[in-house]
Amino acid sequence: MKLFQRILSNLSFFIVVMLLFLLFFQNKVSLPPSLQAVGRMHPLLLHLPIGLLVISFIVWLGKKNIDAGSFQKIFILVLQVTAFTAALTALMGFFLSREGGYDENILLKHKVLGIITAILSYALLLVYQFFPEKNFVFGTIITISLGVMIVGSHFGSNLTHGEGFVWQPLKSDKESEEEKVTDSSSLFTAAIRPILRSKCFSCHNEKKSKGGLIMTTEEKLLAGGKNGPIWQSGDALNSHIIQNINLPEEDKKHMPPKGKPQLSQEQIDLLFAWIESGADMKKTMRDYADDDTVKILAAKFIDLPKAETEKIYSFAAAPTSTIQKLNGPFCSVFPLSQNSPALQADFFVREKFDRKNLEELLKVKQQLVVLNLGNMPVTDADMKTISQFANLEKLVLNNSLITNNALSEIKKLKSLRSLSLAGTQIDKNAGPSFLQFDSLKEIFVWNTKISVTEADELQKQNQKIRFDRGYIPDENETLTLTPPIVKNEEFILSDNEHVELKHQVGGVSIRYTTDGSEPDSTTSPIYDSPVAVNGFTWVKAKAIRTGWYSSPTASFTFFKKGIKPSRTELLNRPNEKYKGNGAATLIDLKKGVAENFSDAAWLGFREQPFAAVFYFDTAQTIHSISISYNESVQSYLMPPAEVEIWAGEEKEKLKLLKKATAIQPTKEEKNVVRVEGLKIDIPQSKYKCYKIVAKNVSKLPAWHPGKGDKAWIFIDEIFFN
Amino acid sequence: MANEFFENRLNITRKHFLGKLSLGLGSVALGSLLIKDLFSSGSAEMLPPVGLPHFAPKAKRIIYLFQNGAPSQLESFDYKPTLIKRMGEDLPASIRMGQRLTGMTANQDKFPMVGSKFEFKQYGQSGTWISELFPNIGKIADDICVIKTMHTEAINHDPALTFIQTGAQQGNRPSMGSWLSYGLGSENKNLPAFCVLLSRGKGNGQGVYSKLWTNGFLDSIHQGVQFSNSDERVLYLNNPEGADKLDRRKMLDELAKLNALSFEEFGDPEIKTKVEQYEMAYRMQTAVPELTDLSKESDQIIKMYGPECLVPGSYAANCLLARKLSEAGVRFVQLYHQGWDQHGNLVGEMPGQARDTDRASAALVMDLKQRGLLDETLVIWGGEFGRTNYCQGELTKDNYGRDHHPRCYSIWMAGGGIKPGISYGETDEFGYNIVKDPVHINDFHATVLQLMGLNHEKLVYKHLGRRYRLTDVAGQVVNGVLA
Repeated sequence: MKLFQRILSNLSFFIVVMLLFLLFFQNKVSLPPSLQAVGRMHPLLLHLPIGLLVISFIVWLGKKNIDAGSFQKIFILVLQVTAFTAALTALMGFFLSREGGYDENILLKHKVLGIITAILSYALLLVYQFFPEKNFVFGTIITISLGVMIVGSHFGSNLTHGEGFVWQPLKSDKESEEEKVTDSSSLFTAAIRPILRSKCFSCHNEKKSKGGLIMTTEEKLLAGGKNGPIWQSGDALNSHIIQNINLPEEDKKHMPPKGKPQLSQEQIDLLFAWIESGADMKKTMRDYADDDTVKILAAKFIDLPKAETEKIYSFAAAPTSTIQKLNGPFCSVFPLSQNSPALQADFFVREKFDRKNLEELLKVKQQLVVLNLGNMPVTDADMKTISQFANLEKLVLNNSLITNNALSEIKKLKSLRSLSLAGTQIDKNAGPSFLQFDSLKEIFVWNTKISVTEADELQKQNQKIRFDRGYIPDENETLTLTPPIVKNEEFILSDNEHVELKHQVGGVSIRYTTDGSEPDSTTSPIYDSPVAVNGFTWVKAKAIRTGWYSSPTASFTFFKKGIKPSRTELLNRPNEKYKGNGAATLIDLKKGVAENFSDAAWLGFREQPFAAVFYFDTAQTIHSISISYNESVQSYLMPPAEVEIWAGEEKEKLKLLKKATAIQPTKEEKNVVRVEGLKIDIPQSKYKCYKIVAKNVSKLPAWHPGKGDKAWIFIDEIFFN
Repeated sequence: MANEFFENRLNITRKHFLGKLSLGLGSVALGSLLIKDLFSSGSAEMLPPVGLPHFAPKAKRIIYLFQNGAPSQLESFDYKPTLIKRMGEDLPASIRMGQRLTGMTANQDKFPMVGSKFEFKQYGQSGTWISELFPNIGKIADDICVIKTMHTEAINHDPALTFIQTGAQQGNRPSMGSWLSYGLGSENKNLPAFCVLLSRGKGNGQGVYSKLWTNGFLDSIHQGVQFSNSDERVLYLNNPEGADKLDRRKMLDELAKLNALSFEEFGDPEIKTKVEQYEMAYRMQTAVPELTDLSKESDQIIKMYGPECLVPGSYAANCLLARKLSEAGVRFVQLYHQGWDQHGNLVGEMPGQARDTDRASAALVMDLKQRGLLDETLVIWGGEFGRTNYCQGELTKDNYGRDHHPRCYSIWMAGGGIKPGISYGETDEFGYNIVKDPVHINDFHATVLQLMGLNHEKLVYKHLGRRYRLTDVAGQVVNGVLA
């Protein structure tokens, strides 16, 4: 007996652990048939632990009347058998549940409660074995187990017999088996009636017709109650049903009455929308448009079999080797997806188009459903080939060489849904052909000879096809041209070099000035050939075209390659980060780019002003000096505040020749990023040594984000002419 | 005494312990026999992709118009009249809920709410709310799906950018485009499957760097190819002066022989990749000029995209090029437009940023549509996170700034498989938290892959002993935005 008891309690432990483990991995469990058979014995065994648990409870309650020694011996055995049968039953139940076909929701509750019962039964055994004197603990656990077991087994009976099995014979209205909802069931039966059934039928049925209203059959529902019909088709706000639902819950007329299950907001929305849309009781799901509010709202309550995402094709797949052979660098042929027999073919690179590739596709003429010949030089003659692709659904012929004649062949494609003809020579005479397509749904005629009005006309004649006319420019909208650009790469010019301007948009005329003045859109010269510039020059230009706003002015500063000093020397050190290539940077004829001021072409100063000395081997006649600087306002790079030019025979004996200032940007120019120049004319002179000091702006103006701060000065070149 | 009995019962002997242990383990072992593949990897699903979608795709190509720096959702697509009404009031603590702030506003003692300075209007039949800064996107309101409930985990630009591009905040994973190149291959063998185009606006900018279009641990053939903004859009593609096509062909053939020898010796797969790349570059010499030549664009196209579309390096030019690349079968074209980081001077900078992008973004969608290509091309517009509903820095009568806000932001998508003309998800009336249908970055990635015909859980790559996905270990397809 002892041995038997030990085996029993160990087995119980074993099964309980296994149950927990299986519960955790329940989605991955797959059962061999032998265990299925074991599982099916669940209903056979399950009444045993139920009875035993009840008996244990009763016996334990009456233990005072039994002599202690025998009670303990017998009670232990009873508990052991209870624990074992409970665990075994739960395990079998678990196996059975894997067969599926049960209401998932109830099943889950039953499963969890069942397993808890098994665990608690085992716990009872442990508690009694080790702490027999702990009466209160044992009593609590056994009461809980009993409760859990009763609730759990109730769910179990719901699973096998259905909900409300016991009371059903007493019910007045035997509910007809719920109809399986399909696309062709009416929205009323699929979504509205279930709401009424769950929330209204209990008081408005044939036995219990409160307010004289019976909702269980369609005729009586339409007839309404003592206040007349409960809804006004198309007018939800004046329908009793909606009014009563929307009354505050405390109101006597509020439906369903206080205390009964209430309608959810989503249910009310659906009811409202359905009545608003005419309360049609026959209209099927299919008859509603997909974007119909009613259908969208109803969808939340209906499990429609999910629409097939993948189209099923009846033809067989082409051999992989065939498909591989059709592929080339300029023609791709591939299945729509891994398991699809349907093929798509795309052609690329116009100048490499090879008609033979297209003809070879006939090897897969059954399978080809998408063909993209966009931008390929295919002609009407090629349509003979294309019309043999019997299952073709989508054909792209944008910018090809086809004409109206092509359509007589294309229309033989019975499955064609989408046809793209944008940019071809198709014209309005193709109209009648469009009517002869079988299943065409959309056609793209943008940028063809078919005008917008003609396309609208075609659309009117043929409602089955959608004609896409594409983008139609807004006549009232005027756009601003972009500024002209300069073709020259070098901004340092020798004598007799030219400046070339251009604009990317065709039909634009460029007007320009070279004297620094703003170009005028009517009087300034029109650019027609490269402009000769001499010396330091501002070329300002704007683009003009009728139907467009003139462009903003583009300004380019050209410097004249001057006399190169033999040596330079920086008197102040540039900032560590922007020290370029030292003093030589200033005369290396390498211009910087405004955006890239950390480039070695630039010298940057902030703490100290720019100051440099330039030496010539022999005294030179200089009449002007040009300084090229970076004006990037947002980056604190400003024009020099003041420039001093000193000259003399040697560095120690210089005299001030001239002071000059540069034009500072205004608030409107705060986004300027450009390379600018300052040309300073000096009294004609002949010296060997020039010193240039350029002071940076000491306080940025009030409109600048860094107002009050010191500005930078960035210089890349200085020219002596 | 009773206590001693009690203690005694608690003494579990070693024999007892081992006995129970083996029993417990034994039951688990027996139970595990019922579970197939519990400890194996389920290898059948983990094979490398065959270059075809898992199921029929809705979209074949993607154009991602990335707005770098995080454009404000409150001045673009998430209309919040409450913020205008309660302008200047401190953000209620019940809304902020002590959520993380950046170092830039953490020290502010007040968080004054600020509403959009720019008007909102409903556009199209769908009645989508769009700000006056984006009138052209308004014109395509019925073609786009605005997602108002994007949210991310990162609060600063670099990790957020890296996250939305690669699915992880640390930069060692492949970019979205690389994953798609890996999963689906190239449609057009004459062009890279993943192309990158850069532009920058005048607003406060944040960097873009090649880590964002990296192939990570995938084959280097899947890396994004960055186009140049000069007249020569693919650098070093042309033959050097004096070398003609035939010379180049001969050179490549000889080089391929040498590489084959080297492959035999070392077996490094990168050698094969290199040879393939040379061959593709050779074919690109023919394919690229046809695409990058904008001189033949019609007036109509120029008007549609705006005249900037002919200026290399502009956002508009990149949109136009993106359309041409996509039309030519490039799987993933990624644009980055910098300048959206309006911590201050939002009122000054945002109109310019919007002007740069509004027209061309809308034109791209319309242009694809009129060619019958929108149904197979997915267009995505958006940044890496949103901006706060409170003002950063000083709130004046006519200007303000907004800090980073990862809790919610708006993007829009259009085309292949996307439900057009809807707004998805809701934020609270303050535009601070999400109240309905959140879309996490992982969910966004899962959805994009789904549209391309890929199951995000099955597109995996094994690296350093672990299987990686774009969605890492998360991600739910957002069915609400699918057509």
